[in-house]
Amino acid sequence: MDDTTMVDSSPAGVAEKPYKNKAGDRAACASTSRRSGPRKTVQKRDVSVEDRKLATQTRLLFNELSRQKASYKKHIDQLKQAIKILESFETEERILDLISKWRGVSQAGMSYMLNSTLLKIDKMGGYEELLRRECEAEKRKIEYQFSDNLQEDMEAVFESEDFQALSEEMQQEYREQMMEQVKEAQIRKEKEFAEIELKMKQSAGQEMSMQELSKRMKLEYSMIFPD
Amino acid sequence: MHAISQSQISNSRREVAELKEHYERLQKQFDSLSAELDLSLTAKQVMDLHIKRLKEYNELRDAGLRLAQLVADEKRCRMKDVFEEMGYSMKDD
Repeated sequence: MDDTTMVDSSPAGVAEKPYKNKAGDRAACASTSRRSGPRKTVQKRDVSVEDRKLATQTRLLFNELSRQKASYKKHIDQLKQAIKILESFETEERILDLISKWRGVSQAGMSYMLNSTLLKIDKMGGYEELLRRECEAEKRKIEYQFSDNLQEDMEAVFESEDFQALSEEMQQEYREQMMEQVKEAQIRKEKEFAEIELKMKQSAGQEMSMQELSKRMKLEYSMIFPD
Repeated sequence: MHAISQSQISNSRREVAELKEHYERLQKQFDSLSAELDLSLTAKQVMDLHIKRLKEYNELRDAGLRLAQLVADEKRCRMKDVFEEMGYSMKDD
């Protein structure tokens, strides 16, 4: 509902403030010439604006109070929990003891596992030999994935009825596209091989460390052996 | 949007005052306990630290049990024996 509507529909009232809005003035004047109580109509509009201002202020105040309530509730909840923790502080100390106990168990376990792993690596021919074998296995895996996927894809396309139904030119185009894909796959494979080789070179002369073993066992080294 | 009545505002003011009083009472209690234990942490810090410790305990316990099982498998003995050898109890009594 706009101001003009309100003025037109307002039944009575005395205007106390002049309107700044020229269009509003015109509407009020028009109303004056037609009706007997123009000043009353203007006051009604003033009251409406004041009412809306007041309603807005009340809502803002209400929202602010709601925000304060939520904030106090949150802090009260935190304080209650913190007090509960402090009141049973021996529980907290017990947790610290248990952390220490399980860290000790983990460290002892890791030490045993490292010794055991080093013995196995030694029997195998050393850490570099272990890495070489792992690299070879990784390469075989990549090789198998590439050749298998591409071979299957190509065979499926070339043997399909849709492909056979194509013109010689189109078949040739598809073949070229497939060959392009084979080339791209070959490049990707070589890149992955190069990465493996690099990893292998970087590990040359190194030994299996506790950090390396933790990583391989998916255990957080810094948690078990904090600084 | 319905209008907010003055009684709703008064109720909210009263609730805020009550909550404030409750909060101040608890804050005093917390301060007193902190002083007794010689701590200078906020309530949130106390909570966060407690949660961090519980998490650390759980993770270390999982790691410890897993490693003890691996050692037991290697040694072909019971986990209980591994713990005994390490000088720890399997249970957190």
